[in-house]
Amino acid sequence: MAATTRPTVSKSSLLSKKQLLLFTRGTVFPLVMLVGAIVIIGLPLLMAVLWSLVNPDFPWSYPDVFPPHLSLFQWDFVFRFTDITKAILTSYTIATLATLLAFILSLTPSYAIANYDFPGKETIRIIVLLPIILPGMVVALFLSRVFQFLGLSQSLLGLVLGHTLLGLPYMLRLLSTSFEAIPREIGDAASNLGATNFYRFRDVYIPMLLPGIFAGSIFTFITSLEEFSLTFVIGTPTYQTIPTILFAYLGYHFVRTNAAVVSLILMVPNVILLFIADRFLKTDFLTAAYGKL
Amino acid sequence: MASITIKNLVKKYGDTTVVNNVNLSVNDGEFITLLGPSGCGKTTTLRAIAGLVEIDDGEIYLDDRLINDLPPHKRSTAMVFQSYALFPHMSVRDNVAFGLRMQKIPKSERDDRVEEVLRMLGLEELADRGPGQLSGGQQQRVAVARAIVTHPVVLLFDEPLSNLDLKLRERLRIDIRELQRRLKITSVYVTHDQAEALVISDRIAIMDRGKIIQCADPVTIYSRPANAFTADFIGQASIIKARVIESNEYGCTVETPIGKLVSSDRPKGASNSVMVCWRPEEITLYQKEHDNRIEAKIESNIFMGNLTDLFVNVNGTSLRVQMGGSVNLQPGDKIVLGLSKDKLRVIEADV
Amino acid sequence: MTKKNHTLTILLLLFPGVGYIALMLAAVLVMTVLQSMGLFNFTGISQFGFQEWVEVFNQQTWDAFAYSTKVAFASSLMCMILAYPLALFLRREFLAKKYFTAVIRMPLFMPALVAAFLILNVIAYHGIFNEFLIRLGIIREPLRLTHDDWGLGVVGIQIWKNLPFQTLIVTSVLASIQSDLENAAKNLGAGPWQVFRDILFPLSIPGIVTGVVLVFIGIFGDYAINTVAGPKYPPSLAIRMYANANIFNDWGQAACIAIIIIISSMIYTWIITRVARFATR
Repeated sequence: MAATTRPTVSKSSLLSKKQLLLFTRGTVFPLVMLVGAIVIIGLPLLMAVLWSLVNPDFPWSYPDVFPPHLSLFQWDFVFRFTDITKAILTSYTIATLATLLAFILSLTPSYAIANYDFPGKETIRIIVLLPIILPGMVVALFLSRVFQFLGLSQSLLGLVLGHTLLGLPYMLRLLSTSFEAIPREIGDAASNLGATNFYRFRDVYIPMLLPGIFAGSIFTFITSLEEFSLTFVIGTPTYQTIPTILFAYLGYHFVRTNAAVVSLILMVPNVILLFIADRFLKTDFLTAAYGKL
Repeated sequence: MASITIKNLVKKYGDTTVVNNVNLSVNDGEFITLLGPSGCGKTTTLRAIAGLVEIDDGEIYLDDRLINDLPPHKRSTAMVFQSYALFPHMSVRDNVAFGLRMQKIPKSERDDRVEEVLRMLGLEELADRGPGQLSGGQQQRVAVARAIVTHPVVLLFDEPLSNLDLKLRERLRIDIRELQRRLKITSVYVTHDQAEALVISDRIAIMDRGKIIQCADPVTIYSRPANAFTADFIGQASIIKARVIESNEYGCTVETPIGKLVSSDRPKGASNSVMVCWRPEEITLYQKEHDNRIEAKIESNIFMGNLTDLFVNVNGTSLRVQMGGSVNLQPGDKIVLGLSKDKLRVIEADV
Repeated sequence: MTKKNHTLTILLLLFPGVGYIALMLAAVLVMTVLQSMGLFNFTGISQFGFQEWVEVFNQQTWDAFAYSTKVAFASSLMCMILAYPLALFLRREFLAKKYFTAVIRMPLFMPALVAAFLILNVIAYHGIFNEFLIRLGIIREPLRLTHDDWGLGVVGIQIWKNLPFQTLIVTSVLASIQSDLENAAKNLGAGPWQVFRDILFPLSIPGIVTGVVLVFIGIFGDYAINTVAGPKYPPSLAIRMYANANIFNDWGQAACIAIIIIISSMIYTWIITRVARFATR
């Protein structure tokens, strides 16, 4: 028979002051911050989602904390009775065309910026960033005037050209950084082995640039999808994009439920795309694009 | 296979003249090394031959053909780069095949030649791997394979072994030499490692600050260095200032800090101020046959395994003496050294 | 090869991308300036002169200008005050850091309009924020936070939207400061506040300035968020510009305001960089 001893309560089972402090600092505080972040960032999102799911027969209003009944009615409504489908088509078409155009226009300049030293490089850097720095509505309004003068107002071509303008800074920036990352000797080796410029680009540079091209394309694409001022001024009413439709529901005709649905339609693909891109690329290109401006 | 002729080559970067009027002739099938410290212009000269550098003045000929304005991809001057520059997104096989693809060689012939070269360099098993999966030595061999498979008329090497460790370097440089001998391709090799240069070259061109100081076969360069720079750069040298006292067609006598010495060399210039030099292994214990007798005191005795480095003091001047095996002499001991007059060389004072 | 003059090649290479931007923006600039001088009046008489400029400097323009400056200043300041500690917090490893970072970065993925709507929802008169405060007994009546006269709603939205961007910038700038500098300071006896005040803060300012300028200018020239949540009067400068152009069809006035916006932005940039340089000393 084994001797049993009565378990004793040891003095050290009570947390010492230091341990308490460490626990607070190490566990409690970060958790509080995390919860805080989730509330501040997530709550608005949650509200939007909830509003998009409100059942019109059970309107959600104060003092209910949650909508009494959820339904997909609003989604159905928006898709059937608004121009959202056309807007989605327009948005994604413009985005694709603008990204393509931005890519083609950026190839040679980013190569030049990475591989040649010339006076005025700093000035060029600033010029390239101007479309982002200048206030959007200013550029939008007066570009629309220029387009009017050229007959490009209310046209798809005008929209694509405008979106390309706004996407070029990102594409150029990301592509030249990618070019700079290619060791000079690789290009030299290709020439040395008989490659003309064309083959050097096609068989050596472009495959090595793919991550950068991917990142630049995603950024340009998203910038175009989100673009509002220019499209609003040049495109409406002939062409609607998702942002311009959203604006309609946020302005004088404030329809909360519609706005909620359209917001989600605008936002969700963005998040997915950026998430993929962030995972796909090795470097934190968000910092590269935004941070190193 | 072609001969290379470089005339009056000049290259400047901003205010610095990196290649300063270089003239060089390389014979068909020869293996010549450009040797010198960093910044002497050897790599720039090499890249000028390849067309990867735009020159400011001068002419470059392959055989009799002026190639100044020929773009790099049209010259048949395949290069092995210091960083190997293997295309990271292609397999070993595709890397090696690249040059042949650019030449539009049909696929079957291409495949055959690639296989042959892979076998020649022992790379068959690695053919499908990517450059990132290879060791330094393997990458180096792929770089060589990629260059030679294109049957270039000239092979260029830009310090290809400098990133490898010593043992690998010693082995691979002999392999490269053997390969070149077999293929008989005119080759220009750049390195800063003088031992490497001595081992593999038919001729060595020593460069300093943009100029070729001396261009000769290894033995001549070693035993008859043109100036103090060369003497010091290749092998080790004891170099001291001297004043010519007497000179005739058989040699000269000089006054030096370590005493009066005779040499079978004659001063080249008009000046009486010269330098004399000898190799540490050429000065030994005094014997009757030696023309020069030098009394010295041992400062330190450093045993290195197969050699001993003795540092001795003669009237305040420190000299280095290298002897084989071990030497039973301690600091403070006296020693008498001898140097024959044909080992005492008279060279130009370094300008 | 013998050295060639590459200038032509470089220009040709740069032209597609850089030329595109330069040409378009030049056209915009020219159009704006000319319209401010009375030309290109599509719906009226085009008459060259300064009459537009004389007209534009009036009370409404000033009010809009003051409002935009106020909102931009308040938002950027508050944003930086929040972003810096956040960035400092993010320097070390802590529990669930990955999740925290992911959540914090969400607003980066959102366009201005969506951010405006989301926050609008929350701080609306009958929105959850007000409800929450009333439930807790902190206030009796809901606060008017949207379309309010001061612009609190706009400021709130701008802070929410720009905080992740600012934090990202500060984080990366802080990361680029060698940790050895901090260690050296600590080694010489500096406490945490001193390390921040004398080492981190001064060294981080040059890198952060660009971010601050971008945020400031963006808020100053904002149209969308002010339309959605801003006060009826005064409107932001951009709204006034737009109204002149597309509602009153007074493009001359709009052009003047546009130039005012651009020049103010440049002046503010200069001021901010100056202040930064002063703070680094």
